[in-house]
Amino acid sequence: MAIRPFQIFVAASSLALTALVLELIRRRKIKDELWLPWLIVSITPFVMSLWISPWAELAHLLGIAYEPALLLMAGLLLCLALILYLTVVVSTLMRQNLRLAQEMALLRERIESATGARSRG
Amino acid sequence: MESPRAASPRTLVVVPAFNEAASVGRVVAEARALPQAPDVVVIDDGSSDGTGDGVPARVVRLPFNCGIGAAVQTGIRLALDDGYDFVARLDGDGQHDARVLPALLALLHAGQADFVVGSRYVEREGFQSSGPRRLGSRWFRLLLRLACGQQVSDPTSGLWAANRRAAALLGAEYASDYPEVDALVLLARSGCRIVEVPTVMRERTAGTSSINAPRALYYMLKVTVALGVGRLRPRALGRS
Repeated sequence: MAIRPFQIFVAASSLALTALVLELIRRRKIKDELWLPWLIVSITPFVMSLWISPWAELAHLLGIAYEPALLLMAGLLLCLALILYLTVVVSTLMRQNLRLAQEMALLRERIESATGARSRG
Repeated sequence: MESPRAASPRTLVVVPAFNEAASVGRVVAEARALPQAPDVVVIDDGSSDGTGDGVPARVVRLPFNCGIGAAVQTGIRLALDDGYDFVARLDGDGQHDARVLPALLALLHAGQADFVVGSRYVEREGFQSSGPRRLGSRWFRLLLRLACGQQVSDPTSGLWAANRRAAALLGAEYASDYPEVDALVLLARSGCRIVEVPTVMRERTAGTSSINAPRALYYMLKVTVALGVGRLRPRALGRS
């Protein structure tokens, strides 16, 4: 099967995104727990664009007349999965942030009580 | 800091307050004037109006606005850490009459309940909340019955007292916003005995309520979903 222009576009975009993710990992701009899902999301479209025939068959099986639409759908689902994962991470951070604020406020009250100091934060 | 009394059971009254400088002083004074003279802590939830300044009580200042539930939970954790036997809540807006606290605490002292709620709907006296809010309360009563078979006439009441068992559960798990109904379900599902005591609520003495129509709708939706999902969660163990 001849390589179609959209395959080149998807592969190039995917590789560019993967390169960007790798550079951000190298610079420690993305934390350890978060780089793996980003790598998966960035490299998956590239892999899918290399072996287009199984995806084309799957598209036909699913009744999708325009095969690249399956790639778009897969990309969208991956993005949704990534957003869901990030929501879980943010929720954890919110919970930890709240606990830290509570602990800090309690500790400050104890210090102020012990030293007789009174400050406003 | 107030001195602990070794022999009698110790009670900490938690007063959450957000920009309630005009009323919180009177709430603290009323609580401290009670016969048992409980210790009082004001949890300043990131106020910008000097709430808590100069009040004759401990003041814990959260560094930013964390929500009413987080403020109350901070007070509960303080009570647990400092070894209090009972913890009670009085809102800083002055709506709760502190004189009802002895009735709530008496049930805890007698071991007849783990959690006592002050209900404005048992005898329907004093300030009754707006129509939509009463409708919301009716919906929450139905949800509570369905979720855990618990009958509570005023499930959104913020006036309550708890023993250490109930406090430990709430110290571990308490929603940041609109926590009351969620907390009742948690306690009921954990086997705590919940009892209601009639009380008269007052209109707030200063400031404005944070619950407007859109927030009331969010309140109902949030609690409804939380209760539905909550049934799927494992039972909380709390910390002793």
